[in-house]
Amino acid sequence: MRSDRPFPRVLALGLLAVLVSAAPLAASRGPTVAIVTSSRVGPFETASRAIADLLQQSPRQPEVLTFDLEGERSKGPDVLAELRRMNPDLIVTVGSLATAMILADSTQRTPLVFSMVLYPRQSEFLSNPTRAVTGVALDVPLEIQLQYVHRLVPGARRLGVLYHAGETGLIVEAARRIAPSQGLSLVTRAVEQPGNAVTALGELMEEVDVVWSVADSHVFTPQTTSALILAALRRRMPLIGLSTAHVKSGALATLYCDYEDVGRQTGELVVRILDGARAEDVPVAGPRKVSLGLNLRTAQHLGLDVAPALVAEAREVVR
Amino acid sequence: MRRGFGVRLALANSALIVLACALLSWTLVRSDLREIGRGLADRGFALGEHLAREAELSILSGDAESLHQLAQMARAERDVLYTHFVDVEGRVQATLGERPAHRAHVPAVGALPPTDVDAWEFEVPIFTTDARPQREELLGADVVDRSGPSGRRHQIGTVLVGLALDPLRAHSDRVAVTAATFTVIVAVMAVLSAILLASAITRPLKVLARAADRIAGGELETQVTLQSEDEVAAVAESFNAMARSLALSRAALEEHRRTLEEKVRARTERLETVNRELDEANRLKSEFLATVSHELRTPLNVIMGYTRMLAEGAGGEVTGEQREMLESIHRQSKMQLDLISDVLDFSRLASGRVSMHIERFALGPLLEEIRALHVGRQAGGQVAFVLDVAAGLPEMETDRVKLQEVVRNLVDNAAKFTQRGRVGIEVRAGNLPGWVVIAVRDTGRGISAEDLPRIFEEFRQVGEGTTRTTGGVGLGLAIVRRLVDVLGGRITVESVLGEGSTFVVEVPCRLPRKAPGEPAATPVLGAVPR
Repeated sequence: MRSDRPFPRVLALGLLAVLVSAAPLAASRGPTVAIVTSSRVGPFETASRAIADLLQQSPRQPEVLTFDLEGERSKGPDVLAELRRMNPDLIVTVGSLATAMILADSTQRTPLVFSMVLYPRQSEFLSNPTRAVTGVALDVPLEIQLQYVHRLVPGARRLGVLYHAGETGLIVEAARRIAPSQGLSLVTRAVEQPGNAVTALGELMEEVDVVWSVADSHVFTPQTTSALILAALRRRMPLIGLSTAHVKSGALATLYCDYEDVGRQTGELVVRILDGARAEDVPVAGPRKVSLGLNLRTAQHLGLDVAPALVAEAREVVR
Repeated sequence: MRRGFGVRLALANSALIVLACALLSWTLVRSDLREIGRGLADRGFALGEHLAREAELSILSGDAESLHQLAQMARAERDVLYTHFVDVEGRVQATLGERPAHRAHVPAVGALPPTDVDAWEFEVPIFTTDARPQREELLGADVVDRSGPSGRRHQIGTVLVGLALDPLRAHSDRVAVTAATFTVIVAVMAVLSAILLASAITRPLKVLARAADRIAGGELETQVTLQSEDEVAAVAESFNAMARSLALSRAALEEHRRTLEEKVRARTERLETVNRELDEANRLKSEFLATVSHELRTPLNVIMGYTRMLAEGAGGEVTGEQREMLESIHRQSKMQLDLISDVLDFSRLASGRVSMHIERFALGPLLEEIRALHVGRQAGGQVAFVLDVAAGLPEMETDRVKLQEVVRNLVDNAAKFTQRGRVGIEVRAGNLPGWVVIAVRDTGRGISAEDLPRIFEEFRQVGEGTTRTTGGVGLGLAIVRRLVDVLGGRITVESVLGEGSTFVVEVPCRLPRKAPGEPAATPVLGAVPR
């Protein structure tokens, strides 16, 4: 929920974190870690909690400060001001919004470890001139994604995707290069704004056998996601979604990460840095666990027979 | 029980107003309920259609959680009791709220919501669209009709939304109570106003009624005073004017009555004087007639007696010439005596001093006597006198002498004007029971049509030179008519000039006798219809 008085709330959260986390360590004055989350939606909250838990259980037991942007970029200046005042030893960002907001502050040099971020390289998070940046991305390798597309819809030859050139153009180009290895050709439709997404999908579906998704905020918004999935269902078009929420809403399948594990993975990177490793020397990691979500109801509607092996493999199945 | 005007007016007025209020309230309540029901139906359908649209994706994807969220959203709506999502195979996908046992599907548009169920259920199908290209599109056809359903849209489930009717019933009850309260208040006001109105109308009427009673009791000076200027006051003013006019009329009537009594008394006195004078004059006339009769008849009888004696030779032998002279003297004396008798008879009849001597007699012998008399008188035998009496006639009970005089005069008259031929007397029963008809027919010279209406007038001789030929002063038929009147009958005549005449007399067989002490019959001339 949007607050009219963001700063006092953020400040209060920060202070509360200080009181809770710092009291046992007051005597030793250990390191301080600030966790800035883009919002408290389920995956971010899960990951954020996993990071904090792991840090609490680490031998150094750093002081953990928690900040929440509540999905509002406008809250960035207040959080940044508070961070400057608190001057933590390390900043952990959860989500692309928080990562971009912190990296935009070129006056500070505090190392940054991101988490739950898609396409960090394409987003130029790794080329920051002032900070050492590393972290755990959510990117499921394109090869794996296209493999699953092939397994899910073996007869598909033309793979369609909607994207915004400025946001996910590099990803799409990478996918275009990889697709032939899976017997697929990638058909793309650029979308300039979310309002055009459904129309673009309609046009795209005229030419393809299956629709694949990239996490592009110009395509998938809370307003367009359902419409896109519904359009695909009406067209009897298999659509590979971005999350289990998409699968529940009617996408045929998705490859998704274990967000808690991503959080723990991020916490481990933080511990390594606190233990003395240089952030710039720690490589960006991908998710260690990738799960398959399946919607058999959608498959039935599409007239698609999903291989029993895939069903058995899927971690989440809508029947 | 007698109900006054006020009570009847109040009852009628109140009943009318209560009826009107009840009817109006009923109409408004029904209209209100129908409107609310229509609004509820619109809302239910709109909600159901919204849910159906929103549920399309969730039904297709089997997203029960989203359906449940939709149901929760619907449940947040006022009056929504339950929401059920069912797929096309009848499997419940999501449900929130319980369907009550007493529920009803939405009725026809405009119908009143049911009162015996707990919920109105709206069943809205959930459709999806098949957006796959059709065969024509795949074949490259230019025109594809996408407007109609034509298989592009098919049902994938149903959403059932139940709206509670409790609020509607509560509203209905409130409206009904309000309407009933309004009706009762209006009815009470109507009764009170009707009573006041009736009182305002009947009070002056009662005043008028009391005044009318006093006037009926003779108090004509009674006046009504009303403190108003309405129609009733105008009636009172008219009433007062009527009472004044009535008083004036009664005074004038009293004066007129008093004057009239004086006039009647004066005229009565004059009439009594005149009557006494007339009685005296009549007495003098009777005495005069008796004297004249005596004084005229006596010498004529003497003359006739002596003439008869001389003709029979009592004074010595008479020559034939002398005999003819004596016969002439006797005949003229007889005529003079008959004339005097006629005049006296007519005078007596005209004065009404007629004595009736009613007796029983048979008509046949009486008429035979008359016929025989005329047969004896006839010298040449050129006229046949015939009597024809029908059999079975009753005996007469009337004045025998007067009836005999009637028939004798008619036969005399017929014989007088019949030189040869026939004079008949015919008697038969009358058309009316107890009446007889006596017809005297002759074959004489007859009477002209213009003379017929006048032959019964006094001193009227019809036909040129009649008097000289037949003698008389024209009183015979006048006397006959008056005698027939006295006998209670009537007489008519038919005649053809040159062929003869027929006089028909109709008389009752029985003439009532007068009680002892009752004055003699004095029929008024013309009293019997002719």
